[in-house]
Amino acid sequence: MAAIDIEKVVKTYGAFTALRGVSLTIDDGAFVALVGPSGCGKTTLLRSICGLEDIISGEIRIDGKEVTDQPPKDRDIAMVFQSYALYPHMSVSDNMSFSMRLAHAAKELITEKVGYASGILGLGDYLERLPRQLSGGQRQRVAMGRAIVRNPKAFLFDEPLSNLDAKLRVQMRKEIKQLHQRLGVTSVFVTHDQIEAMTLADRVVVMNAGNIEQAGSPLDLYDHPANTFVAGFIGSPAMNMLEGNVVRGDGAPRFVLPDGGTLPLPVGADLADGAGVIFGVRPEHVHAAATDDGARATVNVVEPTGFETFLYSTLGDTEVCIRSTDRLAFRPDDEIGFVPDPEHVHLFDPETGRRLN
Amino acid sequence: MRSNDRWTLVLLAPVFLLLTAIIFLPEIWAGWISFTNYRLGDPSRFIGFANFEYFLTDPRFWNALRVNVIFVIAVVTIQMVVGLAIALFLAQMKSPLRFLWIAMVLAPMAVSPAVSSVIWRYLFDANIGPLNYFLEQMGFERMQWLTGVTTAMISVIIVEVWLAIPHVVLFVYPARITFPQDLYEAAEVDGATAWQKFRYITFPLLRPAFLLALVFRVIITIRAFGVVWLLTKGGPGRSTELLAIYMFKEGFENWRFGSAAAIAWAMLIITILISSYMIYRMYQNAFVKQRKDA
Repeated sequence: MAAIDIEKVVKTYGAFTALRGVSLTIDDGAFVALVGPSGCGKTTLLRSICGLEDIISGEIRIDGKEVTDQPPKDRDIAMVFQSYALYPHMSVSDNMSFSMRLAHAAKELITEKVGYASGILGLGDYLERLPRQLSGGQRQRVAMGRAIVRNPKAFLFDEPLSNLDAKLRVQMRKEIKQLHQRLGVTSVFVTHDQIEAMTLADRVVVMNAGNIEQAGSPLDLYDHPANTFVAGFIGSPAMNMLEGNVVRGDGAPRFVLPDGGTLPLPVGADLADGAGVIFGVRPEHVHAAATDDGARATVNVVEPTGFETFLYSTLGDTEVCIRSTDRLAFRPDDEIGFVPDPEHVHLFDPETGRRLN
Repeated sequence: MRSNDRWTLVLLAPVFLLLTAIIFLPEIWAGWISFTNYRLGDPSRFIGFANFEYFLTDPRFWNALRVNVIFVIAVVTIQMVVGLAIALFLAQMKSPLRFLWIAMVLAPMAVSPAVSSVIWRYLFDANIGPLNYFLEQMGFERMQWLTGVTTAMISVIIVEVWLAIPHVVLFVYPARITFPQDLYEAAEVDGATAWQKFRYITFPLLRPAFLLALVFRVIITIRAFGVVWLLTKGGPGRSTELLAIYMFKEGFENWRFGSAAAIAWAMLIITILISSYMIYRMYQNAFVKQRKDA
């Protein structure tokens, strides 16, 4: 177990810059998820920690020891690949013990470690099988077993669940979390699925275009997104974001949409009169009112899912979503009032995208 | 019989007819001749195993067998090792020039063996050949490439290896490029050195393709004739006289078709024994093991 320190890491591929001076500290025993859209640099960062990519500049330390220029084998880390990368000609037990056999470990020790890992993962009955005779979930477990056997300082996961079907993905997600709770090994998990990141990790790092946009606990990111990118990326359906201006009249300042509709601003938002602002509110923090209070929207689609109902509507020229546990009785083309809960409004600077409140 | 099967037979029939006409019938004819004192034009007479007795007691046969064994072992070993090395080198090349390299490596296949033999005979020529010219330029002595007892053997081995390397590359290279890169990354994380990656990952995975190439090369090399015939005619003396050359000389220089046919049959039996043993081993290795797993 070990902490991982990443300092100003830069990586380029020809003219393309994959990492633009990324810095991140991963605490000992933490479970960190790197999440972001394709090409954001999350996998490159993971592979740089692993040593599979040579970085241009910056420094990587594992357990306080600098490893920037060291090959993967000297970093004492284990990686679970997206494709699992199991050796197709080796049995499950040989796959798991390959690193130990290369290191000329004693036979008894190998048997013991493989027994331990396969016990945890429920692979005891499959040790003599070849990878192709296993199901997707079992292969996934073998890949993790290969990591566990090594007793490494950190586990690195590169989108390990993306090749599984939806049901199995949820199950393996739970197993990975239990595994981390049981072993307590520092883990870094790359995924493009924000739900996976939120459910697994104690710390989520949102990346975009080679930069870290925000790092924090899942709920911190959800409740206090630092900018419009994180606000839009975390949460599904995405946060509603409306562009408009602040109007300070006689009473409390209000947010005015280009078409004249107004919305209440949160208490304490200190904004100049006429200032442009992006008004963000999550679908569950908006009520659909029958009255024409505030801003008006036109219903496009109603999606009842049982527990919740999603109401997709058009407000001005923006598509907005309202999420309610009430069974809303609206129909397409109905006019509704878009009533946000002022306590849960996020304000962003339209120029920089940064959070204002 | 389903109508599909019948159609299969109908469509395959021309191939079987052709094989019968140019392989099976001549072999059977040769088999008959091997038991007669057949000479061109003369009526032949059945003489039992006399032809076999004749060549089995002929020291030239034992010399040819010895030369053949050395030739096959040397040629096949060198071409398998070099072919494997070249295939692996090509597979790890990332530059777009790789395709130029592949074309260069495969070039010997595009040239007729007879033409390449003539070119090599010129290269090897003791007086005007470029090889000796360069040796001399570098301060070495001229070599009697095709006229020395040992050097002639080395020379024919070189040419045979050169000709057949593309064949090995064609088996190994396509197999190698199908292996996913992340297997090697996983091995790197597991702590494997370059040699260990080859030893424990690349080679075991290449084995089916490699063994198939080996079987082909052994079968083809056992009955080698053309290149060696064109380069040395089996000489100097009998130092490069392979079984096929010995057989050819028996038939077309000494006009003993009976014993030539008997030698041909002996070669056929040797080839069938060796290749069926190798195919059996390969089958055991690659397929039976898999089936047991499944």
